[in-house]
Amino acid sequence: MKQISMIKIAAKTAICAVVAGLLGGALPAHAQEKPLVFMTWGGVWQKTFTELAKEYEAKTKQPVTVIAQGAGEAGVARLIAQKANPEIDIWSTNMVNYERAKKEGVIAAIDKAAIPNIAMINKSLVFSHGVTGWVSLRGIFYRKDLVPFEPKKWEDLWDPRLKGKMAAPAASFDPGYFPTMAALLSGGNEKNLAPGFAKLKQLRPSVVTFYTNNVQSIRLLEAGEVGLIAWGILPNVISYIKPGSNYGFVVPEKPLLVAETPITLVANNPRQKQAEKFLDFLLSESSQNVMAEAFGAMPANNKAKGPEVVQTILKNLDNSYPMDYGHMAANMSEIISQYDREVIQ
Amino acid sequence: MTQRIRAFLLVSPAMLLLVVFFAALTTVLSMSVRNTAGDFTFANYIRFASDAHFLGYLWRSIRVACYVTLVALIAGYPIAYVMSRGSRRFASIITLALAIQFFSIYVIKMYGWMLMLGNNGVINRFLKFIGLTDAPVRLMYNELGVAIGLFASALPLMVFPISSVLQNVSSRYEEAANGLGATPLQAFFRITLPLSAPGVVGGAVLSYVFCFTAYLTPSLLGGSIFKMIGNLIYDQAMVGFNYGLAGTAAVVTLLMSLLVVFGINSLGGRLLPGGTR
Repeated sequence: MKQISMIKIAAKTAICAVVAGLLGGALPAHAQEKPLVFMTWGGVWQKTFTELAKEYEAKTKQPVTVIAQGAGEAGVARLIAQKANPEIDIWSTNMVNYERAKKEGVIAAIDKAAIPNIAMINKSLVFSHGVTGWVSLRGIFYRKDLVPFEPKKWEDLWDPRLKGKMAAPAASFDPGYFPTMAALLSGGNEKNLAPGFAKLKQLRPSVVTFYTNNVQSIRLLEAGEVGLIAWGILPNVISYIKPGSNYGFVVPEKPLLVAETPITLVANNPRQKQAEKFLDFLLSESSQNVMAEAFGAMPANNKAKGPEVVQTILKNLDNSYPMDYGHMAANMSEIISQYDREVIQ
Repeated sequence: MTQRIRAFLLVSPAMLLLVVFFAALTTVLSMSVRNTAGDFTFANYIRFASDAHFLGYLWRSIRVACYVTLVALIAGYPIAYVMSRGSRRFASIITLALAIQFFSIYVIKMYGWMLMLGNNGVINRFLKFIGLTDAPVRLMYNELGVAIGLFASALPLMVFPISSVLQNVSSRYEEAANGLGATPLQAFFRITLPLSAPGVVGGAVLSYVFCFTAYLTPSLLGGSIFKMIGNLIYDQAMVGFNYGLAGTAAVVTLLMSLLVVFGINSLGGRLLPGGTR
């Protein structure tokens, strides 16, 4: 008898739960009270955007939740999985994943009229489905005590004095950029990478190891395993670059390769209007100053100033190479296979 | 009827897990037989099978998994034997050491090995200090580093199953064999080893599958220079977004793993007759 009543109770509880769930789903959504969800990278990015979100909520009463995506590829995979019913409203990513997301139809076209601060952004940093939030510089990161000379240009990587002293990016790290740099030095480009792979093969004897993430590259330098990181991301190492520091970072200008970081609005989203307002806030001069300072990057807003250390490394982006990210995104599988095959293995 | 409902309720969580598991597997299989347009094709499998570069990943993974498992067995069996036959205190110390090794966060473990094996790591500094070498010995960013990292992680997977079986094998069997004129070695090979076969087989399967599907260890200790099949799957799926090729590599990995598990079980039964039943 006891068993029968327990089963009855369990069944009744389950029925109640189902009914409550159905009722909850049927209630009209209060979009204004529900937080906007902004997906970005973890660490300093999540921390900075969380602070900006608090400022935005204090001004507008619109709460914003900032979540971490891990790698950029994980972010786009998540958006694709949620395409029919997105849980994310705004997303920051890199250009390759931006192109991928655009192709998959998971990010919305930008309505410039709804985002007034776009007028303050350099036209080359505004795209059909996203606006650059900040520009991340790429260059050579090194320890002054472990290299025979301080590199100034990309060609210095091939100096025989650096044999056995450097680490280079693995195929999956900032994919496509490093072979593009080598290709541009050899008469090729991102659509013709063969000269780049041939040039990187010549670099192979100098490379001790290939790193797959920022932490690994920094650790290699800190531990003295290598004296130079051939492809460094300035925002990740900005805290090491101080006057009198043993670490140096150079952004070679021929070619000048930078990474625009677009902020996008997720497609099929009932809260697009609210998301546009938050994006406009992120593009304001004050937000841009905060972001550039925290990320060690160049701001996208013309009126904002980047941190001093970045300004000493690079004055402006006038000569940056216009990468065809769409081509890279479409051919990434082959690019990484070829890189592994011809350069690393 | 009540009993049926009860049985169903008890089994349903496990069944749900199995359904989800097989749904995921089916999705991977489906991806492997489709091109970017979504059309059915075996092109991914043909490409994988005909490209020496991709087969190289598979061969490296099989090779490393085989010898690391063998070394783990040779090193792990005596440890398991001492744990089951030695003093309780000594057994507890070994168990604790292996448990710490097993349960510590994997990434931290691998970074620890990087500190040990690096060109500027503890071992090379020591070798330089005692005057054995002038230049660093290459212990990492190659197959050796990957094998060392995998061995360290696979050892508990080998030791624990063997130890748990040996604990149920009474030492009186060995005493009886000795009493009947067998040497200790004869008693071991004729009595103890066959009876410990289920543990050996279990440990070998766990170690092999762990090593064969490794991703993080070759990524960190291999320096992307020595990559295994897990690295190929990740790169193609997460960076290249080539789900077809990644799915193909995943299906091949699964089939190879099942084949080896079946092979190890069969081999265990043949080499150690009467021990696996």
